[in-house]
Amino acid sequence: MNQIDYSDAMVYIVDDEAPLRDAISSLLRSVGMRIAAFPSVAEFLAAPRPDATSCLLLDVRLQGVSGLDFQAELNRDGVALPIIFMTGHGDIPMSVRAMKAGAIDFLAKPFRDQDLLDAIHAALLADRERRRRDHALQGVTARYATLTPREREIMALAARGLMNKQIAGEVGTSEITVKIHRGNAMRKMEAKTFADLVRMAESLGLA
Amino acid sequence: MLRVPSTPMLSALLIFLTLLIFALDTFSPLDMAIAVMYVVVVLLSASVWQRRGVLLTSAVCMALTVVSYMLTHTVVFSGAAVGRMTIGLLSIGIVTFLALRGQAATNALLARERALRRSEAFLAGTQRISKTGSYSFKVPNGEMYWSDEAARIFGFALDVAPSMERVLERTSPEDRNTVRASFEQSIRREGEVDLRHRLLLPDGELKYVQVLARPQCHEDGSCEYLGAVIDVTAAVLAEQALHRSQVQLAHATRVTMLGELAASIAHEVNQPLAAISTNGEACLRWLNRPQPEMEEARATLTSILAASQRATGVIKRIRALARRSDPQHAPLDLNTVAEESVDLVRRELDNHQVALMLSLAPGLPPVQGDRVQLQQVIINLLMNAIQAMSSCAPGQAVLTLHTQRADEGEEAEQGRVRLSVSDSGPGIPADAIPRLFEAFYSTKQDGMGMGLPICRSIIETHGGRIWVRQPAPDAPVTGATILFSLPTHEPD
Repeated sequence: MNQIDYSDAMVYIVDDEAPLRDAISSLLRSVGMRIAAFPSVAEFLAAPRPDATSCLLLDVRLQGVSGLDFQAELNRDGVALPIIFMTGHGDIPMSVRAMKAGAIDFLAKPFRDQDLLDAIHAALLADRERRRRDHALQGVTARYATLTPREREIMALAARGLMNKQIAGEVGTSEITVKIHRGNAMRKMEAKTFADLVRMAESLGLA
Repeated sequence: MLRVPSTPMLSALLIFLTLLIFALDTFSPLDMAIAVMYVVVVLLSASVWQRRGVLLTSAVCMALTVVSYMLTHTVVFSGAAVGRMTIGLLSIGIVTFLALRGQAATNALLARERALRRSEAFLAGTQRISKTGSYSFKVPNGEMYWSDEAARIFGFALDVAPSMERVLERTSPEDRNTVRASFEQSIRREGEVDLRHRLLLPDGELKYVQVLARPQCHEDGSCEYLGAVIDVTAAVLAEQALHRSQVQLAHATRVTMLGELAASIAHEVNQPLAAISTNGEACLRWLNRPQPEMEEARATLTSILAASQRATGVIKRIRALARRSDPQHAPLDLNTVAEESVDLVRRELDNHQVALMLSLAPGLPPVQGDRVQLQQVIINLLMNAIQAMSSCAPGQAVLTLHTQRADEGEEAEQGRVRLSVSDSGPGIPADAIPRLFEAFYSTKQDGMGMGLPICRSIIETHGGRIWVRQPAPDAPVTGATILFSLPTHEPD
């Protein structure tokens, strides 16, 4: 489960200092990673990004815009790319800020290659997991769309932990009808157990 | 007006002589113009008394002559006696006149001599005090004369006859050729002499002298150089001490400046080191593959070499700035010096989000100067500008470094090269401007107030000048501009 096929993954590097950018590129290629390196945030944003497990290696201090500001910008835009920060002279407040904003790791230059590779590995794992979740959520959302309004209502109330009798009272119908709707919802949502259904409701933000 | 009371003997002799002549004239039976003898008295009195004394003596003698005549010849008129008396009176009168004239001439001569002595004493005294000797040098025969003070400066006894060889003997060996050339130039009557050289005296004392001389040619074609030799040792030593302390102060402020730049410098060294270690790891991994990738490994090694060169370059530059050495004056390209300076503060620019506009005029003529000191000036100006813009809104901080030929504008700037550093900060308050280059004056909270004074002293020892230019009142931009201009180096 912790193995990643690097040839399917993509590592983006943004660093304005060419010598180190090239060195990191070479190191990552030597372990078989696919990389794309950019001297600036603008060039990174302009480049096409393939739909693959990926992460971003970002220098904190870039000419023009700082790495931290860029991280905030990505978060705002909903780009959920795991970020590993690199810094020439990292200070604690800066790293705390970066980690709070969701950075995977914070590496001080010069770093040990294994630390970098481990951090990238962790970032790619996190991204794969995130992508898998996103993927799963997409299925749930699609199946949820096939439910009738009454089935949706009963699914939400059931996920909130109400008994069939209470639900029947709430929506003004018989307990039998509630049972039928609930069974339909379970079937349509492809939930094997009731717990599955509750989790799906949670991921959809119903509970 | 009896001038000589100290010669009572002579006075007594004169009185005695007068009485003797009177007695002889009156009582001797000789029919001679004995009164003529009075001239001796008059002549002697001229050597003892001044004008009035002589006139008095002459009157007394004449009166005695007349008395003597009346005592002896009133009864019987004798034409011969009257004649003798007349001759006597005439002689006394003529001798009195001549004696007085002689005395006046002597007095004038004495007065002149006294004036001369006084003026000589003045000259010797002032020569001594001002340590200035005078000399003359006849060409082409090389005959020399010098004043006592000149002899003293050269360390010779006052009775030693001066000569070119004597001068060369005391000239320090390093300067001997220059001095000899100057002598030869004088012998060829080529212009004036203005030379500073060192003397090495037998007791090992080192002196600095300034020699100034000007030729004066006579109608017969011979020429004489009249000149002054000034012992400027004290001034030169003071100058050297000043120069040394200036170098030390410049070094001290340079080291302080390096301290302020420490973070930037660490980064500049760290960056290539990071590249080296990462490249090294990458290289190993390329080589350790089941199929080693030689091309990739080679590329990483090339990068390692480039990065290590970069680190070495940075360290070299820092060491040059940190070293305390005498300024080395050499022809320099001001643009290169500016670029090297910018390299050292590049991180400061990034850290403070300052945008740099570098506008370097191509093909500037070289300036003569010390690379390290000029870098110090430029770095100092850049750091000041960066700090001045600390309150600027993000994206508003712009630093402009501009080099150009200073051909346009004032006459004094002709043929110079100019460098200016401008910031977009709040500018310098007008009341601070006159004090800006004063030592210990700072507009910064923790400023030492040594940066700009050192900059000025460095620029001025390079024969240049440094000044502030305020933006025009209606200019859209604020901010300060500091400029300096340097004379260009003319190849010999």
